[in-house]
Amino acid sequence: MTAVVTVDGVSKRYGDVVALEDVSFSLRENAIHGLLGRNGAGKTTLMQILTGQTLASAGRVDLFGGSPYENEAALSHVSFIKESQAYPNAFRVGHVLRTAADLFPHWDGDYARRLLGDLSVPTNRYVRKLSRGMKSALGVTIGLASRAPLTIFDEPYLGLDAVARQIFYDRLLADYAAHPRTVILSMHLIDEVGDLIERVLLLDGGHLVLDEDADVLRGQVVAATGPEKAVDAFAAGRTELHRERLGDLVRATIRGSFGGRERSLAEALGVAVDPLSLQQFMVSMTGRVSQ
Amino acid sequence: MSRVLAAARLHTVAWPLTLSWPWGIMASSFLLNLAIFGAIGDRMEGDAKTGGLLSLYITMAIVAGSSVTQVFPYALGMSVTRRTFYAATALVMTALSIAFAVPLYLLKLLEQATGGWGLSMRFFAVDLIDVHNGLLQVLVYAVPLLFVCFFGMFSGVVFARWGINGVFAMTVAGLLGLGLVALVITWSGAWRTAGHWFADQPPAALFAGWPMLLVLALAGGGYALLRRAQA
Repeated sequence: MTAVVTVDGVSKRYGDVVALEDVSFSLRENAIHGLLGRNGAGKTTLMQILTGQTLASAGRVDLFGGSPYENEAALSHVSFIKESQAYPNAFRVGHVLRTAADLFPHWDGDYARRLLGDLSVPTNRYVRKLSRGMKSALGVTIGLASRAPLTIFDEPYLGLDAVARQIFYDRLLADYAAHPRTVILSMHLIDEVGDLIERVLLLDGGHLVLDEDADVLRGQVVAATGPEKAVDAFAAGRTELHRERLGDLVRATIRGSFGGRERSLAEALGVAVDPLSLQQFMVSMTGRVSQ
Repeated sequence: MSRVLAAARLHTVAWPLTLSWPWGIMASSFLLNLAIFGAIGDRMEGDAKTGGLLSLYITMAIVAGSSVTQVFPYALGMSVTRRTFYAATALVMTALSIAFAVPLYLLKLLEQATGGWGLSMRFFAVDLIDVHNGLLQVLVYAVPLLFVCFFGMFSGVVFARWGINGVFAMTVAGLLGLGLVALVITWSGAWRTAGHWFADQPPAALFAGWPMLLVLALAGGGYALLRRAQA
């Protein structure tokens, strides 16, 4: 197993603001990673540092065996689609396709045109005249058709309708199967992509709070609902992430492994145990509600 | 190198919009001057010159500036390094300066052959820049073009790094710098010497030699600033 990207103790400060604090992880080759976190958690900053577009205040990044900063060989294997991508005013969609063909070594032009057709993006229109959703569809197309060994999507679905989003997820999965590569999906709509994600990275306030296989996570976090005493008994000795009160009942978000023994215990105590989706899990991990 | 050429295409792929403007604006200036000269007719004495050629240079400075401000964020997003982007931009601007200087020279020859377009108008063959060696004449057109291009690029880089405040600060610094030079010359009573110095320079030195030094300084400075520009 090769690490495509290794991040070691990366921090980023803007004046007094800490955007990232001592973040370390590595990305596996040919896996789909979900980079999750709330707005302002540092997701975009982290991806800009990975691609050498922004410089870290401290720490080290290794991208395909070198620092990403001004690293032509490494960067030519990267396609970073960000929601805020600026396009020159003079560019039509066709210009974007031609420059992408020049700059991405594995670019598939036919595939890009088909995909734009499916997403109903006219190729002769100025990019600045595209709607929010069409601009996102163009970004998605560049990201998929570039077939870059490291492909990063930062909030790629903004403005896309449900049909276009589904097309994106389907094509991503199909193209990923045909041309395996390392993918980072930074998204809020976690449940829509929950099945795609193989590895979860969760950022909260600039800290990496979780780096875990999605499969492990899926069975590992539950919501336990019941009378307070029963929930207390069930939660004893486990990591409780969150607790809320619903009238007479208490709902606790608990992390740990839950097998048959735990289930019979819950039954005996009268506690309902429900597995949490990735999205519910993220909310319970990062949601801070003022009391 | 091939990646530099690929990045150069970022500037040329939408060329009708960016590259036709300098010539379009100069052509309109030329036609306007021609109309005015035609209207004034014989009442003018001697060969009168116009400053219309400047329009090409001003437009090129703007084109060069926006080639950085418009294309750099896109290039960075398309995984192009700052170094490659800068090399590609410098390459395109140098090629354009030379490619524009040759037709300017030919138009100058045509102007002189037709007696100033039949109206004794000097649009391309302005006194100061009129030299008799063809190659030198091309340089006298090309190097100032290079200068305005690299000045435009430098300003574009300042904008890319510090936004509009950076450009204003640069303008203030430039004005103060020039003012300081003028002040020093005035204090030391050296205006005559300075005037003589300029008058003594042959056109080739004034329009090709010295500007080339400024071009190199701007090119190096622009690159140094762009190296640390962030998305």
